[in-house]
Amino acid sequence: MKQEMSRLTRDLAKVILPLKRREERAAIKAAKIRVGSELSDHYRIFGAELRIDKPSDPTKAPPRMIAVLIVDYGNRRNFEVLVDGKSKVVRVVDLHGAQPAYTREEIEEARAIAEQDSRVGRFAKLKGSFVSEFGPERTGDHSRRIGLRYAQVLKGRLSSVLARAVVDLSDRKLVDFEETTAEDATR
Amino acid sequence: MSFGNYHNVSGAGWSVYWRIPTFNGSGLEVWWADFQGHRVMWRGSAPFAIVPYHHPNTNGEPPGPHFSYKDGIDTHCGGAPFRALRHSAPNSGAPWQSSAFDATTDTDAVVVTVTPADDFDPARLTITAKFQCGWYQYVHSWEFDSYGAIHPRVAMGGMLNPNCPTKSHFHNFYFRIDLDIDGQFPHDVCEIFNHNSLNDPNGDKWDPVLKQMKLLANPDTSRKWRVRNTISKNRAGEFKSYEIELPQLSGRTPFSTGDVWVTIYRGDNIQQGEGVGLSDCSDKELETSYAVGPLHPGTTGDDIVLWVVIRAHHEPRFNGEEANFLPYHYEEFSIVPRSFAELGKPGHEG
Repeated sequence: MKQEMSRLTRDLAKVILPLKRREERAAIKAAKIRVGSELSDHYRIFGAELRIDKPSDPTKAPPRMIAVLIVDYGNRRNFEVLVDGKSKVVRVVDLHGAQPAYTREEIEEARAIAEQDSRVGRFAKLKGSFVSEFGPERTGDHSRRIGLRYAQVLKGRLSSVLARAVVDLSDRKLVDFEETTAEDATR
Repeated sequence: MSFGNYHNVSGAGWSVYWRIPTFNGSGLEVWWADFQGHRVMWRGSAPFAIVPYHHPNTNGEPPGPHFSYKDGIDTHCGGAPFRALRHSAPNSGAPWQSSAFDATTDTDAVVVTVTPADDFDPARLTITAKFQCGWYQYVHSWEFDSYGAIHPRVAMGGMLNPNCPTKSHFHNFYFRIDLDIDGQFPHDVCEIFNHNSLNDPNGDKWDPVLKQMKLLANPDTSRKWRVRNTISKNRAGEFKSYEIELPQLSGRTPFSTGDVWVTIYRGDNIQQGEGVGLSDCSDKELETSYAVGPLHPGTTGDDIVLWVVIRAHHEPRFNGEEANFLPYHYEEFSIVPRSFAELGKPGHEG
């Protein structure tokens, strides 16, 4: 055993072992059973992750917990279901409007919604265009909104951000769009 | 699992775990940092940045009325999450334009190095990863040295804002530091140091922080801060502590209003940076929502958690060195032991 490591950390060894696929599946299954009846028809389970909180007694190792993250677009609610090492749900934690990072699937869904609008679609069809995400201004109702920046690379040169679109995934609609300009940086 | 697991590394007298969370977009974290077999830190992270621009003419990036991004965890105000890149990703605009440089596993992103001591420097264990954030790249790096000190560092790279490349702006990087000295929580106190005069006694003075609150730097009094345990002592009978040394290369603004915030541990999934910036894209919520409540320095002590900000004012060299990419620019602060480490013992690599 490494001499740099404290006894407290050595005692954590079993608690912090990497999450196994089997554990992840079992935790998600337990979470779905626990909250399934509360979910709208429009939700996404982001996945599961280890959650190690400090123990109430510093001389004891904390319990191994798994957090299952669920974004319920329809109910405008993001929450975690905490599951213990025996796949038993311990509690449900409301994230009170805090937004997790956008997933690739969400960005694709937002693009599909935004680019149905001809103003946005025009930028998506530009040669060399690309899209990146941003976090837009919040609304008070905790709806899940994604910002999309449209920019272009032509002959190896990057344009400015040409346009910005905001998609509300809770309502499945484009809620904001604006074209932007760039300053002349050669002055 | 690709992300979210804990990885142990050791060197320079340290054992440390690192992790990149799966869902938060909050960058590199270090956990359970132990030095010479003793716990120093439960967790350290740099989960968000606030980046206000000169304005009003930003051409929509960042958008008004605040002209300030909140990047990283719970991003808004036009900011972006920290997206882990392969460590070999180029420092340019290319990783913004394509996902080809994204790390597919956390071990693709993180580089761990152990540098032996030499004639000038202590040995060092360094854990580093880079993250895309809009057109910017941020490097998160934690250096642990064989003198027992920790040096959290952040670098800015990538490319200039394509919509207003001439516009100056601040990068304010916020660190959450949860020291657990010798694992003896919740029995810490936070104290403020001031050099008041060259006349002793009492030229230098440490004072306790009596409640959770925002604190300000003051180079004129050599101000620093420490978390001191009230139970664990070294062989000389002094309480063990770690000090925060915070360089002041640039000052506070209405968007970055403090230098250190003293809070207490409320869990490892709340008060991680979420909710900050919601009112006006500033750090106001650290003072109004996080650092709120009593402390107990005269009795039991507390499980202290500090928020620390480091800053860089960036005046772009848009017609010069930064026209094509941003050479990495590092800022850092230090977490330094006092009456904690035993150095110079036989076998200790200085």
